[in-house]
Amino acid sequence: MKKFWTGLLLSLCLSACTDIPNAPVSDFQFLTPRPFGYVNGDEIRHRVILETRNGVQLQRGGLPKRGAINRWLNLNRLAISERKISGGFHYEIDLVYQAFYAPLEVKMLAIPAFDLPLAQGGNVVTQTVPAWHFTLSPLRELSIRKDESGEYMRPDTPPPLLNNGGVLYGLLVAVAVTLSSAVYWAYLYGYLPGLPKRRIFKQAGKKLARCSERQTDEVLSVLHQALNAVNGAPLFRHQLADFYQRHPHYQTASSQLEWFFQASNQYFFAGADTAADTVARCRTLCAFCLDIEQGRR
Amino acid sequence: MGDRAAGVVADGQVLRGETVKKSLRTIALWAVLLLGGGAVLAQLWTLYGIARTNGLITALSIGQEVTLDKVVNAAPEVRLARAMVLKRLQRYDEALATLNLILDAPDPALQAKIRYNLGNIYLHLAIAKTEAMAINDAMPLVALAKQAYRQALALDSRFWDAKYNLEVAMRLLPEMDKITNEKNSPVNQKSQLWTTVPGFPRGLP
Repeated sequence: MKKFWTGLLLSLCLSACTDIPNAPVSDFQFLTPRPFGYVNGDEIRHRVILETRNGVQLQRGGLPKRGAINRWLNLNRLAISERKISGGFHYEIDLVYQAFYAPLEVKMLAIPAFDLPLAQGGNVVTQTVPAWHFTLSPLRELSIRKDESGEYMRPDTPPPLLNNGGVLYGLLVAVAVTLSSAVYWAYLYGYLPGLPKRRIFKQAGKKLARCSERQTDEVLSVLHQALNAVNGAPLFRHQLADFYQRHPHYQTASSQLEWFFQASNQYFFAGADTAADTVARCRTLCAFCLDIEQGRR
Repeated sequence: MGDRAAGVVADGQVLRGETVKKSLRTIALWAVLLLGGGAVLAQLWTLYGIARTNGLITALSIGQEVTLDKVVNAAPEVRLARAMVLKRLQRYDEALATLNLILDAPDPALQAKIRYNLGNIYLHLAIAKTEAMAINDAMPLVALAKQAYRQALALDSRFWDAKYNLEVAMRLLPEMDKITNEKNSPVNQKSQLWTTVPGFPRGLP
């Protein structure tokens, strides 16, 4: 009977400790890495997960401060993330310690315990994060090893060469951008091989430049050939509306084209003399069409 | 007739819009071309500068003479190389002064290397003093070496050479916990003095 009561009391105590409905902490986890295999200068990462009830909040001012915890232990980083959950808060506290200890043999050390202060209004309670034990090993043997320069120590680290990876990447991007715009520029100005259409009025312009003011016949023919090449078939005055539909950019030159076909008809079919400025106007028209061809108009 | 006129006006506006668009495109194209060309030139110049600096570092590393004016305002890497040359020439004060000037290098990895090499100079001097039995001179040097190694390890905890040499320094000058007032008896003070005298444990046969 005595055993029964003792067992009952113990189970009640345990259940009371684990899940009290009104306890300020509903969940507490202390996540730690392996407790062995560390050496001088190693970092040790701990994570504390804490969930509170009834709006109980963690008092950040009471947490360990970054810097030296004791002679051989530093707290390098302390990061706290907080989010609201139903009725309370969920905290994740990441701690990065660094141990500076040079044991003569494998030694058990402990990261000291600390309290997490929790508050709700004027009430303050604490949740203890327990001490964590781990072993630290020496890096060098106990007896002294010497090289020709005396006590053996690791040599200086050579100065690193400057990294040019980022600059090379930047250069590649700049070259790609420049080349792309240059190719597009060449395409617009008719310098790309295999795209003759872009060079029609350029070549016509060169031919016109070689003609004299009296070579009206030659000048008109050159312009006709250029317009025929753009049209893909011989182009006559009555087809201009259709031409503008297929090549709308040339509509900006409609009045000049109208004049050109009229002058050409008069010259070739009516046998009339052309005006004195015909060749000059044809050159102007050709330059205008060249601008259209190269996308400048 | 009115509809036709309106159509012509609309066509004219569309064409004017197209013309403006094309002009803008041409300007943008030229701007991109010029900016791209400028960026290429700038990157090439930077690459040339990096190659020249790396040449300087290599020359210093293999012990070639480099004029001081090339080093004074050079990148921290060059000055680190210069400090190592000075150390090889046993001009320790100049090496320490050079390293102290570049302790705040912007790159943490480089900073860790600078602090490690600084610690090595202090430790080297401390060992020399210890072997010459100049213990009082050695103690502050070991403390400075340990501080430099700790700083290097705080920047890069995987710096194995720094871990090793820190252990060398810690064995040379073991650290003791602060003694509280209750324990601060003359016997304990004597013990503390004895344990912080630099020297390596020679316990094993």
